[in-house]
Amino acid sequence: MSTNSDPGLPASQDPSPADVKLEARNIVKRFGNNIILDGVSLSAAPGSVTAIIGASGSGKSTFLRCVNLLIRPDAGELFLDGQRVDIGQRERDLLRYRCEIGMVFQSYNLFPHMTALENVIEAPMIVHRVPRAEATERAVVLLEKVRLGPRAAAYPHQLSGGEQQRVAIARALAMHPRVMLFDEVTSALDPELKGEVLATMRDLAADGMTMIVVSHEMSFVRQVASQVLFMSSGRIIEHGDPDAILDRPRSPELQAFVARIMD
Amino acid sequence: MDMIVSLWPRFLDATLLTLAIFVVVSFMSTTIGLLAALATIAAGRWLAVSLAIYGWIFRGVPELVILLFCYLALPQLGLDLGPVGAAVLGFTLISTAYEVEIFKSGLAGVHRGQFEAARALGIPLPSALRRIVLPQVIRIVATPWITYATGSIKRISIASAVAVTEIMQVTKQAIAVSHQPFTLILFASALYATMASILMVAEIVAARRFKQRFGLSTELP
Ligand SMILES: Nc1ncnc2c1ncn2[C@@H]1O[C@H](COP(=O)(O)OP(=O)(O)OP(=O)(O)O)[C@@H](O)[C@H]1O
Ligand SMILES: [Mg+2]
Repeated sequence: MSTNSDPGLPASQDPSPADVKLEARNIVKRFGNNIILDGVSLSAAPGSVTAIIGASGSGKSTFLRCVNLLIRPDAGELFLDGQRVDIGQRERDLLRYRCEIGMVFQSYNLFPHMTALENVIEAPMIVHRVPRAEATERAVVLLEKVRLGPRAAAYPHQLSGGEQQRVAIARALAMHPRVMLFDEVTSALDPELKGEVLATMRDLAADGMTMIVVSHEMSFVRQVASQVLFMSSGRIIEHGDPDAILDRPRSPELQAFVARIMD
Repeated sequence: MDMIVSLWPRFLDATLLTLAIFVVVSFMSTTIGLLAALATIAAGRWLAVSLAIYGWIFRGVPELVILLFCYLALPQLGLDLGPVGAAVLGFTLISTAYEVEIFKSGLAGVHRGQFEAARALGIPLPSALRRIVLPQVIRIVATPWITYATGSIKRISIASAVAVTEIMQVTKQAIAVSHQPFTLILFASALYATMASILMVAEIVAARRFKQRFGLSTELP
């Protein structure tokens, strides 16, 4: 693998430096004979927002799922706070790592039989054995933070898409994750509901959360992202600050992608 | 009417026996069916194939044949369970085949994203199944489960063929002595209808509660 195809990323095998929150090195994933991720690397500084953009099918979701090991990469390395993550460990041991990485999905995936509050306290109670009263106390704070304080007792079907997505963010935050992953969390929402979710994500970034965001909300990416990675056919083919990526695309793939996104 | 009054104790016993068989069979087949369906999530192909063969046999062969097998053939193999035991075994084998299918489709009806969200939160699979998946499965299967149960109460009448003194057996015996088939069959029908109605009311109550909790549409695209 040539280094100049992994722009800006170290090729050395040294342990990840301490000023990097999360690092992925040369992640490879195959489904059958198809190589979906062909050596994807990423390095996220603490408190940074990394945006991943790219055409449908380029492997963005697959990469995010490899980062929290929802799916197991075939090759590559992961480091969280400089600690190497054993990607070969048993599912049971992977659970502990996944708690450190919050994930929010495009389709919210709230538990439909639980109220907003119950959704938020579920994992802390089960995984960390936090007593219900304590979990509830923290959940109320989190729901207020995502501006849903008054809706705590509502069931998901009584909430708008934007509200559901904010509950999902609160639910992920309840596990005290060190990094948050967002996979096209606004693309199922009506335009007027996107804003409230993006505002919540802005707040989170301002609080210093390290975030990796797959998003096609270009104004959000431009304003909030510290770096942008452009994926195409399972590789990161351009990488840089938002203005450089969106205004001065070099590769024909990114030029075509930007042209499509902008109109 | 006098006849019904004088036969009432026997009919009461028969009804209680029918209910007891129903409860035991339903409990066992639901438990085994649910566990088998859950196991298909984690287990490999061999379990799916065994369940398919099992379902093919016990849903394909007539109930009467299976009951006769349990009552008449098993003793030849050294397993004599008596009439009630044979009926319970036979009905459990049959019902399990249906319950597996009911719970498999219930599990399939739970959105994949639910499993994924649970895994992403670090929730272990057993807890996720119990707290997140199962409540949703119960909502999905409530109607087919009760529909099947309603049929399964009526099917217990077949046990009269293996000398179980359930409602039909008592009815037939009473007809033989009193020669009043019209009244007696009507009365037996009323007993079955009452039991089935209780289940149907249970379904309505359940449906209303689920609607309160889940709303009309519970899943997103
Ligand atoms: N479980 C799977 N089995 C087989 N192929 C898969 C699987 N998951 C994803 N793929 C394939 O991997 C490729 C990348 O999918 P992925 O979902 O990561 O793309 P994406 O960049 O997130 O696209 P989108 O913008 O549409 O969400 C696609 O071609 C997809 O068909
Ligand atoms: Mg995707």
